[in-house]
Amino acid sequence: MPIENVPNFLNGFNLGVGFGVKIFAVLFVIFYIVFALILFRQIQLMDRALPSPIAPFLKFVSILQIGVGLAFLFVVIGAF
Amino acid sequence: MDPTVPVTKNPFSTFALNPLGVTFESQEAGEEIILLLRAHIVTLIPSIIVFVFLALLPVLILGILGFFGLSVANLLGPTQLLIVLVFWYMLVFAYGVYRFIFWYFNVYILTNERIIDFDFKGILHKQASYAKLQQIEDVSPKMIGFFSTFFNYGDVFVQTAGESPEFEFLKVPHPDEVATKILEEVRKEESEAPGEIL
Repeated sequence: MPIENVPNFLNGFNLGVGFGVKIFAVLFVIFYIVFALILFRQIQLMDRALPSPIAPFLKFVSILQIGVGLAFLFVVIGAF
Repeated sequence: MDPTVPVTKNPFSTFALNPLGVTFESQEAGEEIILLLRAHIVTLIPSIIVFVFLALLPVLILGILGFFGLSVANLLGPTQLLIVLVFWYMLVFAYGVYRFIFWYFNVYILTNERIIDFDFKGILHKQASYAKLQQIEDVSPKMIGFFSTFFNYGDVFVQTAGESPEFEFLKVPHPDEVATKILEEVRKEESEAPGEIL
């Protein structure tokens, strides 16, 4: 490789790493959102089986997790 | 319910005698909850330690890097560092909620008609087992180990003649008292006429 092309090659490498990190972060956040959704559903089912006075609070927390996860997904998409 | 009977109002109670306002799916008319049990609060300590450790881990890592003269600012930009930290604390928070829900919804119930075991073992695992009091053959409480003896919690094994041959009330407070309560209700049930609910 001619020496004058090395910076271009390194730029391409950096772009690749940044893109890889971004994909990894997006997948991780999607996984987190799926986890939060399952948790919300599980709380709903358990509340049906055994109604609890703190279930509305737990549902709120799990909805908050989903909301924060979604917000974070957009942040991650825009940040790298 | 008899007004002289003590009731439990605390929704986080691990040993709730006559819990007030608690109902469950498939509860029959006239069926009353005598005892609601959860794992002893001491059993949450390992999860609390892990939670605190995970919450402090970024501070520890920053401290260790600082000790060796390294700075995270050289590796990550401020936005990236903030994102990594927010994401880390989201995971730590999710872990805390997950462990709490496991503990909170894993309950054992003794009613004047049957015993019920609600299991919430995994994120996709929900199970409820029921056994009529007449089917109970043997009740054996067990306390093994230092913490069990010190904090007075243990397992109560209930042998039944039903579809679920053994019920395990795991790490519940006052196992001896739980066994006594179950046997007391079994005796009451045996003295009733068939089909009668008292």
